[in-house]
Amino acid sequence: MAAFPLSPQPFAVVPFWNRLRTRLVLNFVFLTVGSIIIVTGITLTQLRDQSTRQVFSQLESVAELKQSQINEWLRTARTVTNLIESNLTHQTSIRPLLEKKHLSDSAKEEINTSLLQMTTEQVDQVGEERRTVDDVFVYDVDGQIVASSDDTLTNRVVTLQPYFQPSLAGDYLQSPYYDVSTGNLTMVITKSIDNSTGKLIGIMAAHLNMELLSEVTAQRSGLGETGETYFVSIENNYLLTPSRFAGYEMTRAYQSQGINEALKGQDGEGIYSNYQTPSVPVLGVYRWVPELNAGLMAEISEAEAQILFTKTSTILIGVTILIALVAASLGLVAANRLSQPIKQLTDIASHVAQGGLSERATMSQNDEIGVLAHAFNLMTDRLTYNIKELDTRLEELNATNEALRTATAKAREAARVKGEFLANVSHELRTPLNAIIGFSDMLLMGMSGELNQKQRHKMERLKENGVRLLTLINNILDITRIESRRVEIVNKEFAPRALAERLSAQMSVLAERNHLDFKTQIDPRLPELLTGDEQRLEQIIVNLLSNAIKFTEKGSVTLDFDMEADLSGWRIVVTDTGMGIPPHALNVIFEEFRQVDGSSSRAYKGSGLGLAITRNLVRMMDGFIAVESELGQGSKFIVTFPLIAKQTPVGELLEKVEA
Amino acid sequence: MSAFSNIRLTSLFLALALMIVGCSPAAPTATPEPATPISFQMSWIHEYSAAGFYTAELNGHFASQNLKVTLEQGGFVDGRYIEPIDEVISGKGDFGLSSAAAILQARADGKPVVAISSVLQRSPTALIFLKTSNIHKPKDLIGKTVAVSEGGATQLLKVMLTSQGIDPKQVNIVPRTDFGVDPLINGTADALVGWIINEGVAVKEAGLEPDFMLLSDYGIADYATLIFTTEDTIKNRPQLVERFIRATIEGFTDVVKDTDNATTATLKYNNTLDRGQQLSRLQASIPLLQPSRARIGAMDKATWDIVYKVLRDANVITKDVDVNLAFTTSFLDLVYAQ
Repeated sequence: MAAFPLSPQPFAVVPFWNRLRTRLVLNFVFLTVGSIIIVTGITLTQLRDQSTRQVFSQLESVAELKQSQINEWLRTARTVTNLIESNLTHQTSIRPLLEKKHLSDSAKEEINTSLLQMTTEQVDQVGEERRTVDDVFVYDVDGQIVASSDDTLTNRVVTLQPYFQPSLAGDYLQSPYYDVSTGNLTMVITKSIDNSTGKLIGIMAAHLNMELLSEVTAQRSGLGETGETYFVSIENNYLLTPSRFAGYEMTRAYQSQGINEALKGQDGEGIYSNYQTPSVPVLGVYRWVPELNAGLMAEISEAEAQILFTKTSTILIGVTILIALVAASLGLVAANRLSQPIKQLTDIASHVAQGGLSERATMSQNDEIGVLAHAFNLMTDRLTYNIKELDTRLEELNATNEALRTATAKAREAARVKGEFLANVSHELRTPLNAIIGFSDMLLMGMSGELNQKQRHKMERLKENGVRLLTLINNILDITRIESRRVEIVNKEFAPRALAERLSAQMSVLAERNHLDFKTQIDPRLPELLTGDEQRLEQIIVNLLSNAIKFTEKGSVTLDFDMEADLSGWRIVVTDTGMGIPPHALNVIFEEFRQVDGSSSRAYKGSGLGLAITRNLVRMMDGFIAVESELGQGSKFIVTFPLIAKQTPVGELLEKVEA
Repeated sequence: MSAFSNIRLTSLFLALALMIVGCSPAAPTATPEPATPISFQMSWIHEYSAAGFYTAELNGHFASQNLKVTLEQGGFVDGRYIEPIDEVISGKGDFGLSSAAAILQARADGKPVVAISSVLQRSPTALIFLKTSNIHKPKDLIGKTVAVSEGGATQLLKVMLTSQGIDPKQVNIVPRTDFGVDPLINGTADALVGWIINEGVAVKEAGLEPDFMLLSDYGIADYATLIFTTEDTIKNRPQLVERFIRATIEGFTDVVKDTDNATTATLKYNNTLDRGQQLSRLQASIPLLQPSRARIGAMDKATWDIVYKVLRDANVITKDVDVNLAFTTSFLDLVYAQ
């Protein structure tokens, strides 16, 4: 029995990433930890969005509040201005002054005093806690200030002030601007003063108290530590209200995404850089305030806005990491518990595979692996049993083989003895037979006196039967020799034409005796010399011709030597016009002691050994014999030899014969 | 990818790039026209008041107009004040910086100079005094000592006082001997005539609180810094004028947007200046450069008329001048039309 091919390490080490344990842990981590992280991520994102939204809406309401405060302030300022204008035009001689009527200095002073009084008393008039209007002044259509609550303004010209031209066209609200004359941020409300015919004779203007604007933005409730509201003017991007951050300048061009958007007239919200410290991102709500020609900004630093979110997210991330660690550890333990029995089973399987059939899995779990272990044990049991069974069968087979081998040897020995016996007997038979034939010849030649007709006839019969018996014995001797491997093929050069002529001469006598035509044909392509055992060839041809003549009642017998179509060999072809061989017999005619028909065998002389000998000889000479026949039409025996006969050892040839 | 195919790819791209460049109609097949050299005569030394010109140079606005501008320092050289109008009339400078009063006077004197843009749209000229001086209105100057440069400035002060019903003799007018604010600080003068964006800031820097009265608030308007050239230049090289004004306005627009960068540009021309001082003066200048969203560089006829009327009425200018010929806004209109 061949050894089962086992490599020294039959079970390769599984790469780390392919290991069940690794894959189980990874799957566990991906499924559990992954989903935890995803859930946490989504939660955080939503939390952040929510917190951002909340801050934006808070800023939005602050901005709304500031806007309404500004509107209220401007409304009050308009009311105050209207009141003062009404008082001014009704109670003072401002119109005559504007119409260039000569007024005494005291009359002029009276107007100024009146203006001052109205400016200081505005608080009572509208119930405000403080002045909405800083000072009031009146200028003529040339821009010359003719009266003022602040006497330092008197005699100044306002032609270069931005409100001057618009004020000539009607009541006007000058949005905040940086007044070069005073170096201050200024806002002005103007009122037209007409004469009795409705012609514009002058303008009353009021400087608004800008402190109120700053107070509106200074109120920072709900804006935390970093939040603020402020106004940025469209004029040079100057601040209209102080920044809550140190180092600011009112007259500096401030930029930020929110400022730029608001100054384009857009309302909105966003996260962008702080106008003063670009490295600090802020959440901002911005809106355009047309009355002030300015942007109203409500902003809070992103860090502060998100502080709650940051705290929550820190906790959430911490918990997530904790859960992830626990999950990973659990996964590791579970993976170990799952993969350990499989590893054990693998080890046992490995032992079993290497022949350790006595190994058994010891796991007794109540799960699939337990079932697998049980099944594995059953399988190993079965395997053990089967192997034993096979061993028993093998022994029986060996015994049978031995018996057969002995029987074969015996049979061979018997055959050999039989052959030897036959050869010896034949040889011993030939000697007296030759004597019989010899003496018969001598008697026929009349060496013992002339024979009468009757004696001659009987003597001829005697000789004839003696010759047949000799032939038969020779044949038996031949076949025996062949079977006992005592025939030797001796290859040497011979002339096929000479062979053909000799045989033709020899056999034509026999043919004539039977009244048959005998023809011989030689293929001109046949070489002058061939290599082969001439004596055996002659025996083959004689056998075939004898048979042909014997089985042909009339017609002809032909002997042909020709070449194979592809010139690889040459052929001996014997054709007759005899009775033919029935198809069922074509296979058996070459066997010993067989003639086609048992009944006809008696009609024809012959032992039935001729074709068997012929076939064996042909095979021994590396040739091939075939027969074509049609019942009643004749037969054709074709013997083919390779062009150069090989010197082949007899043993080998015999094996071929046996095959 | 093998090094070979890399080289092949690179050369393919190179070939493509060359083809594209070669096919591009913008490809400079001929040598580019050399930048036009321009000489600009300033009215003072290199400092913040001309920041727009330095910024135009630094930010490449001159270069993009294909101009090579030489900024000639003004002020005093060897005790002689370099008069920009004379420099431009003589052809030494192509453009110059001067005031409306000086332009009108030059035209009265037959010098064909024309203002094309104003750097400061509001005049910074003011009576500057300390907040503690008890001066609030022109009449408060009576009996006070006022330091003012001799010449045009003194005349304008007198016009202003007269217009306020004050006899100039009631005010002790003394000539300014330097351009600092020491007379105010050490009390040798109660007020001085200077620029709010210069002396005004200087007082603050000395740790005192300044107050001021702009002469323009009392009808004495002026364009203190006008860009001008000759009638010849306007007639023969109008495109050059337009290019120069365009670059200059871009320069001053940048100044308004970013005073820090403008100060850096200024200090490149004069590293003896104090950065902080230049920056605060520049910031103070912004409302004058661009008051109430005005177009940078703009001038208006009303102001010109006032300037002329004041000077002519006071007989500072002794001959009639056609104000309409003294300035043109056509180049500003061209610049702002785009």
